[in-house]
Amino acid sequence: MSQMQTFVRGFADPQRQAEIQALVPSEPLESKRDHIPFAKRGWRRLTEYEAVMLHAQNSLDAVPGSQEIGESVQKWPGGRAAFTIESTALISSNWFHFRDPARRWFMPYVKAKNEEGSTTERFLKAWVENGDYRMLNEDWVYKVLGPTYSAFIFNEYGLFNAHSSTVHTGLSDLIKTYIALSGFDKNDAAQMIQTERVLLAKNFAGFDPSLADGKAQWMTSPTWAPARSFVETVWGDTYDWCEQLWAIHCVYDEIFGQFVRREFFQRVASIHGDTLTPWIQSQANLYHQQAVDASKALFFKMLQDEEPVYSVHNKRYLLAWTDRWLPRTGAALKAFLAVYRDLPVTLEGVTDRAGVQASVERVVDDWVTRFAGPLGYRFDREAFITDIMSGY
Amino acid sequence: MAGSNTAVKEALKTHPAPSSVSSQEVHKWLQDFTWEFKSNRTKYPTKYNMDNNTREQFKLTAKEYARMESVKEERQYGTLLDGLSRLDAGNKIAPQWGEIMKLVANFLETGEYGAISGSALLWDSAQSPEQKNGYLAQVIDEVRHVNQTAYVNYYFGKHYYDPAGHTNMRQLRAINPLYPGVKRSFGEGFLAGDPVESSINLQLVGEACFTNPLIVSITEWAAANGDEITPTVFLSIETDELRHMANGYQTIVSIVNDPEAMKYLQTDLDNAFWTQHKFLTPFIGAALEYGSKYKVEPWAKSWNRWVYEDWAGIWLGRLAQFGIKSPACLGDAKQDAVWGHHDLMLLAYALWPLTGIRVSLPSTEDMAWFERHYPGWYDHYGKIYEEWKALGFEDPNSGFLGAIWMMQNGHGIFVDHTSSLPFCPTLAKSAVRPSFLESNGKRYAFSEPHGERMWLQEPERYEFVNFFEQFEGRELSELIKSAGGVRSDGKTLMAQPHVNTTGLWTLDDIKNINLTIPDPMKILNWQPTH
Repeated sequence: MSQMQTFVRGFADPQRQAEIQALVPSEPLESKRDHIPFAKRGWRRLTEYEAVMLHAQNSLDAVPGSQEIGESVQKWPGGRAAFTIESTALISSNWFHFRDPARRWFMPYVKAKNEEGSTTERFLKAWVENGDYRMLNEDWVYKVLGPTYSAFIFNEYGLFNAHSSTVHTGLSDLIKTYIALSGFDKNDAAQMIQTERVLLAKNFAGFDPSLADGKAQWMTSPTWAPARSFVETVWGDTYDWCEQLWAIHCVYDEIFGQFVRREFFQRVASIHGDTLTPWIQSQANLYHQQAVDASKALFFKMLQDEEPVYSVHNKRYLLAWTDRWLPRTGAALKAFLAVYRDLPVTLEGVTDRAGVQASVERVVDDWVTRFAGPLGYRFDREAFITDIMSGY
Repeated sequence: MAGSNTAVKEALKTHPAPSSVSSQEVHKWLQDFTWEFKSNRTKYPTKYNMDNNTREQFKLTAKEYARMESVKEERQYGTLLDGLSRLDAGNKIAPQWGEIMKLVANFLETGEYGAISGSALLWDSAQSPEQKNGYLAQVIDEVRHVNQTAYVNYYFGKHYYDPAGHTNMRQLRAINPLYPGVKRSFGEGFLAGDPVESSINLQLVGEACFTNPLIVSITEWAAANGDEITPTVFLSIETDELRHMANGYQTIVSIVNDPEAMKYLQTDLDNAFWTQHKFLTPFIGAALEYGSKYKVEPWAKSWNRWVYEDWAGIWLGRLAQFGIKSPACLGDAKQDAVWGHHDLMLLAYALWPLTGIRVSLPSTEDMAWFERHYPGWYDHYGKIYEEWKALGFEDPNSGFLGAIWMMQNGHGIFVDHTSSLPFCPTLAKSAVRPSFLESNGKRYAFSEPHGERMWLQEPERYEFVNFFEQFEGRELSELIKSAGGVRSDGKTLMAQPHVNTTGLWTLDDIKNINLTIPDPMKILNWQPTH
């Protein structure tokens, strides 16, 4: 018979635990229990958000703020290092000073998203079983939520993909976290539209849940062409990761995305008896709001307001990037306004020229309040809005 | 009950409930989310051709992912913050183990952090939306794992009786001579290179090969040594790893139908295995066997089962149909699995003031265990430790330091230029076949030919300043102080050469040794013996 050694659990076995206790000092060897005491606190006390991520990045000392000495020890073929400051034109005296105002780390993030998912499940059930779908205008269902809404999936999905290289390259741990979660949210936003469309297909005979019509619109319709161009350029052709984030969250999604989600799908859905789409889009709006807060913390708080050396340099780049991406954003919105031409239901003050202009002004003015104003970006608001409205 | 559940599922499949949408009903459309466009190219191209139609096995949507993960998070943090805190778990741990976890948790954190970028690289490279979705889930998983491993240090820092080092290892590791080895394999090895090469490093080797011995073995050794904190976290990490291994498998599936792939695949696999093995095999073995009071299964035996039989045999066997073979360096790795961790620990003892933890030389019982499971251990290592102990290894007044003893006795410590790990040519029992080569006026040390070959083929990938070059000329106590290696009294070291509560070394004791960090490549002209 072979000798079987019995596994003993040190915590639970009285004899072993007694042996361990004989080795445990009567008083702690160290009274200071401050975690990562060397790190700058974003709030009065170190938060769990900081404790579980801040300075996890093992980077080279060329990344300002890094705790490392020396450099990365495996490089790309050709000799480029893993995390390199040349990945963006912006400069920081300390890339580790970024803090997401929402303090999102994995645990609270998935908890919140799970709650959103659970609530949605219950909402969908009630929405169908109470017969709310009967209020829906059928032309809205088949002509708008069919092709137009699914075309918007490609917008959200493309923006999601524009986050992959930015996650890889982002220069500090808390920055990477914010980018990764923002990208995950964009993927979720695309999937939630499809969730709604699958539900519609179960309740409306002949509603096609496939993305065929949406893809056709996205690829060929002038309504989406500038938006598609923007997404393709920011995803495939833009290499500066800060520029990508600025273009997506601080220009395009703040003006075009907010318009499509809030001013069109949420607001116009309601006049078509659609109480489902506003619900679904409210989550995407929340994700956008969180991305905006974190982006402002990066581009304004960290890289300008609290940046001791390079704030002027950074501002110059943000202004130049806005020059580059704002016209494309305006063009995307201008083209999108064509959707108002074929709406099944129209309502004065909502879908007429004055109503749409008010919507455009709202998103543009929100952008001015949140980004252009704080940046000191000057542009001809009236001309910008007039040009967009020419697409109506 | 099971029967009725199946019936309900079947009925729903035939007549989907009109008031709900399952994640699978959404996921099945994912492949249609993308479109072709001229600049739809990856920022990080791969030399392989990844199939745009590759599917992904776990088929999770974002909301379903969050549902699953939030349940795991609730269980894990509930156990830690409620159950284990009330049971005073932090003070039930054998000291050797509580110390080694300062390194294990932090070094694993480095790996998980590298994996965030590595997975993002794959998300960027893959064109199949399902594959992108799978890699994205891994990106977020890796954020989770960084948070979790960090939480181990954070929790120990709050509840364990010696928080020093748990609280600031992210700072202390900057002077740890072992840490560049972690960065090489676990850090940049996962994220700096061809995306498929990174996938092979991360998913096919790091996760499919070494996750079981790393995470599962450690939990068993932890539990034996009174630590219930580590198993609570690490086993929860392990529940994500299966999806990551599947990602690795799908990466290979996505490229193998292209005959061109085999030009590179075997070499990339061989290099990745050697890269990961070179650090993980000795480090895990040293952590388990030298960081414990209570021993479980000898590392060489665990390694043989998990790495040699399970991974190289069964896992790679599934890829044999594609022409993939076990790495040619497996034989040398097997020798390393027996002796590599003893070699590494010898150097860790020799350089203990830089490790940031309290280490303890093997006790009489430990020595007997080592000799029983590694015949020949005592004559090679045991005698050295007995001599060191007699010379005052533990005594702060002795002025003794293993590294100085080694230099005085002709046992130079060098840094292997490819793995970034230190090695001692004259005291190693693992598969060490050193060479010292000169390039562009600089001399480089290599501990074996596999790494040397990697360097010869792509020298620019390993251009870095090693530990000795970085700190040459720095006085040891000053270096420790600058890295935050001193306790709150301003003089006692966080690192110690024993786990006693008295006889603690201070900065002055280190200053009395009067060691200025040398660069061995400048003072030792090592020549092979014959």
